[in-house]
Amino acid sequence: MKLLTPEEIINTLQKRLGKSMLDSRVQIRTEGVKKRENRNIWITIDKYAVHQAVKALMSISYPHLSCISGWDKGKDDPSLRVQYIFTIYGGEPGAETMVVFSLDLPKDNPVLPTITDLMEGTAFTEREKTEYLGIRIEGLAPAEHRFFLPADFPEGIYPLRKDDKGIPKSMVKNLWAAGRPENRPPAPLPEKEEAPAETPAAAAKDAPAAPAAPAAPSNAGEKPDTKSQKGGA
Amino acid sequence: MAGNVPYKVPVGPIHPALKEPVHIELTVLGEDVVSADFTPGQTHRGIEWMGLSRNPVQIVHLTDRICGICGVTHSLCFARAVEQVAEINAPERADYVRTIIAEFERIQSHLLWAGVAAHELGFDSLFYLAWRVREDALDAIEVITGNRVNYDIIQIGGVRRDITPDMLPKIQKCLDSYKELFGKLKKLFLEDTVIKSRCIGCGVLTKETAAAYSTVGPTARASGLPADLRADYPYCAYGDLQISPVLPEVYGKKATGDTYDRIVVRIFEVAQSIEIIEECLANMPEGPVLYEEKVAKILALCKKASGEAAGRHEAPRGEAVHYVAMNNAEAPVAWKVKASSYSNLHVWPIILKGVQLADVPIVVASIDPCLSCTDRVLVTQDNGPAKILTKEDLSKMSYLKTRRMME
Repeated sequence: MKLLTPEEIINTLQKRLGKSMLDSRVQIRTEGVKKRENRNIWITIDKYAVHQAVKALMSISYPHLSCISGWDKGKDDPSLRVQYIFTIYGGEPGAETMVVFSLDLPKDNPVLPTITDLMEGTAFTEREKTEYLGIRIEGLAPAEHRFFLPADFPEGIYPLRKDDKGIPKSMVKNLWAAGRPENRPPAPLPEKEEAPAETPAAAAKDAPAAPAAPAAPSNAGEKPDTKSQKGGA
Repeated sequence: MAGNVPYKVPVGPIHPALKEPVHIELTVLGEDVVSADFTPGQTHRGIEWMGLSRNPVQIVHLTDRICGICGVTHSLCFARAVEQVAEINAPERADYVRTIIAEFERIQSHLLWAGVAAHELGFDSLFYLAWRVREDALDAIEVITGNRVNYDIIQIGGVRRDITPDMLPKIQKCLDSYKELFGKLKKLFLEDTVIKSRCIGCGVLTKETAAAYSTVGPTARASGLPADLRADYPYCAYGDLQISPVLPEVYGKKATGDTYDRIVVRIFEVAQSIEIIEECLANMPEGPVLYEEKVAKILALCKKASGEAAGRHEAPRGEAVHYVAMNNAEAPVAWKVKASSYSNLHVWPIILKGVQLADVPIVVASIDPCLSCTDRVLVTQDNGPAKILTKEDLSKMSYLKTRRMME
């Protein structure tokens, strides 16, 4: 098998995709002392050309699909950006080339075709896009259960959306704000009868000493105070 | 009589045979598994979502906590992605330090797995041996990074600590102990009659399926796919080394993609990692280990950056990818974590088909599933509908239990 250079790969894909290929760029990265190149190709395609693009890539070499990723472009742009992150020439020393197909997908009709007919094992990552971004995958039978989100996660909420379908404020739990629990039951420590007089002074001076020290009844009353001090500082 | 009626056997989400929470539902006919289904996502933590309101330097520390075993994998992938967008070049010495840590991680991860595999087979003395010798790798990691689990050594543009000459004897001692031990490990894991009879021909993943499901790492290599980023896609110091992927052929054996092959690949990869570390230590270039020492300057560079990139790394379990898109803002606009197990979990229904119920634990474990990376809320069944426990609830339960025990 002759290995194509990034430019040749782009040309081959261009011929197959025609106008559906909107732009392309080659990104070469070098690391280490010998500065050997690793090659990455970024291609933007039309949203109708997914199937065609994967087929075209398969005609070059059998690809490896790392994953399909996607993100919400935010308030200014009512669309999602989806990337099909492929690599080809895996197993060829130093020649593996990453080929990423990106496309814009309008939020009012987020539908993509499945590519499971081309590569059997892509359903998992396709289903993730349905769960995280609400993209409907045409041609893929609905899953019996969720794969990525908990079973009781509310329907119609897609965690990575940045609009009204995203995570509402009511779902966000700021763990830091929870602090330590109030109204803890008193510690059932054996009562120390020798030195009860020292207790209040020690607790007031420094907080860490407090839990180790004193008898249960007086302690229960003091603890909320040390907590609110910590929270304030 | 009842032999013809298929039964459904649920395993998990929390089960002694699984290291981590995943629900596996097996349909069994007698002792044979007819079909299998799995439900990960039991511990979704929303890390990607959290990252979208943080700056890259903060995210690096968040990435360290994605997985408890791959302590460097995710931070390395993320840092490499951000460096490509912001056009930061990590110094050469940093590439070497990154590689050395990544290889120590592979050693400790593979030994951890080997221990778990032995345990799943009921060979607990081997489990104790594997986990005891794994401590040496953790000690070496502690010498280099200061930490045993969440290493926190990667920074955008390099690493936070250099490998200094005083560390070298300790690192070498660790490598020597593994070299001495390798023959023993190989004999115990690969020549044992029980392990052979339990694992050969069990949980087979064919080369074609491995490719069609885009599997990665030792799982793919055991099926005969020679895919290894360290050899195929030069990055960090791997481009300077001559690395060839470890396939079952190293043990003079044709790749069949069974559980035994996956043990072979991992055991031999430990030896390969030792070689890589020694070569890196011998050829380390001099110089700084950070592109920019002042964090504020790194953040300023990141804030000015726009574009997208993917950072890849061959983790102990295979290829991990972080996709990052930035757009002249403090926080990235997109961050996608593709952990290695993400590409391997979905072959469970295939490799479990036809195995015996007693083989399920070892077959499940054979792909070295790491769910903390793949899942990113805790649900309990308390004689009623599932309920989410908040941090306050959990803390309270914990306090109450301590109190009960003291009474």
